This record gives sequence, C-alpha cells and structure tokens, in this order.
Amino acid sequence: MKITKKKNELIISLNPKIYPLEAIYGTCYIFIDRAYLFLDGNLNKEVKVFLKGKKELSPKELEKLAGEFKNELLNYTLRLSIAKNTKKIRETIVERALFSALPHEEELEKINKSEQINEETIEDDPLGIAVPWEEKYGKKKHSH
Amino acid sequence: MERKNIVINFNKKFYTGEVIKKAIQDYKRIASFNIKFDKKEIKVEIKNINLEFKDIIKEEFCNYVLGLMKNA
Repeated sequence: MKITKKKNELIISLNPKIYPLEAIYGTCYIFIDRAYLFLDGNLNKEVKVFLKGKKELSPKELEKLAGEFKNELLNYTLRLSIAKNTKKIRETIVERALFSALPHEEELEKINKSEQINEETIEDDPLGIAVPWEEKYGKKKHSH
Repeated sequence: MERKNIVINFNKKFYTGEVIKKAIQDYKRIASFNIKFDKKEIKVEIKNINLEFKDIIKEEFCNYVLGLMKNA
C-alpha cells in the first residue's frame, strides 16, 4: 500500500491481489459522507483510490483519514474472507434449522390420523351442527 | 448557468455504463450530460451546470456513481 499526499487529497495505491475490489468499494462507501472518492488504475496490478476531503483538512487530519481508511479496508477485507470461508457452514446451519422445523414422519402420521378423525366426526355430526337453523328452530306449521 | 464544461473519465474496470447512465438520469435536473464510450474509459461531459452546484458537481457526481457501484 502506497500513499501519496497532496493538498487536501490522498492517492492510495492498493494491490488488488491483497485487497479485493469488493472490499475497496465497501471501504470507499464508508467514507462517502466525509470525502470525495474516485477509483482508477489497473485491476490486475494497482488500484488507485483518490480521496479528497469534503472540507479543508490539515496535514494531521489528512493523515488521520488515511489511517482510518487503511484500518477500514483491512476490516472489510477480513470480513469478506471470513464470510467466504464460513459460507458452507452457515448454509449447513440454516439448512438444519429449517429441516428441524419440519414435522417428522411420526408427527405427520399423527396429523394425518387426526385429520381423518376430524373428517369422520364432521360426517357424523352428533351435535347436529350441520342441520340448518330453520329446520331445527323454525316455526312449525300448524295444521288447522 | 455555467458555460465551462467538465469532463470526467471513468475507468471501465471500476465503473459500468449502466450505473453511470442511472446517475445521469438522477442528476439531469441540475446539468446537461453527454456520455461517450471509449475502449477503456467512459467519458462524461457535464455542461449547462446550475450555478448553485458548479463547485461540487464533479466530485458529488463521482461519489454518487461510486455509491451506485457499491450497491450494483
């Protein structure tokens, strides 16, 4: 990593083999509210980040900004690397969690049985729920 | 309106035409834009800039494009 300092501006040269482009984009995005950023260079050899303070920065502040950028870039790169290395295990955990939420065979049988019972009970209708109200409580016709 | 034109050369390795076109759409109210595709670069010419934004439009536009690239 090479840093060139100009008035209120930094040019940070990065090796794309060490810092992936995704990490560079992510880091730049973090600084977007404090600085003006621009990318140039060669994707296989050297990526140049032009970082210019939104407000006038003293050499000390500029140095601080460079330090923060380097730290954030390292942090982002590490996070990407961890995410890549643990992708398989994270997928397995989610798969297992979803699988364990599914009912087992015995439970499925129970559910099927209870559904069958319910159907039979509905067909039997011992309480006479299926009888229309008019039939059950309607006025009886009186024969004169 | 500002008469002086601004030219920005976006490296195709880091910026896509699609994203730049989207940014132009979003900025069209404050300036006029011309876009030209070269082999290695995308040249964006900014003219008829609203005076209120003439000092910051170049850098703000670049930041906006970068933000869109990150989320693309």
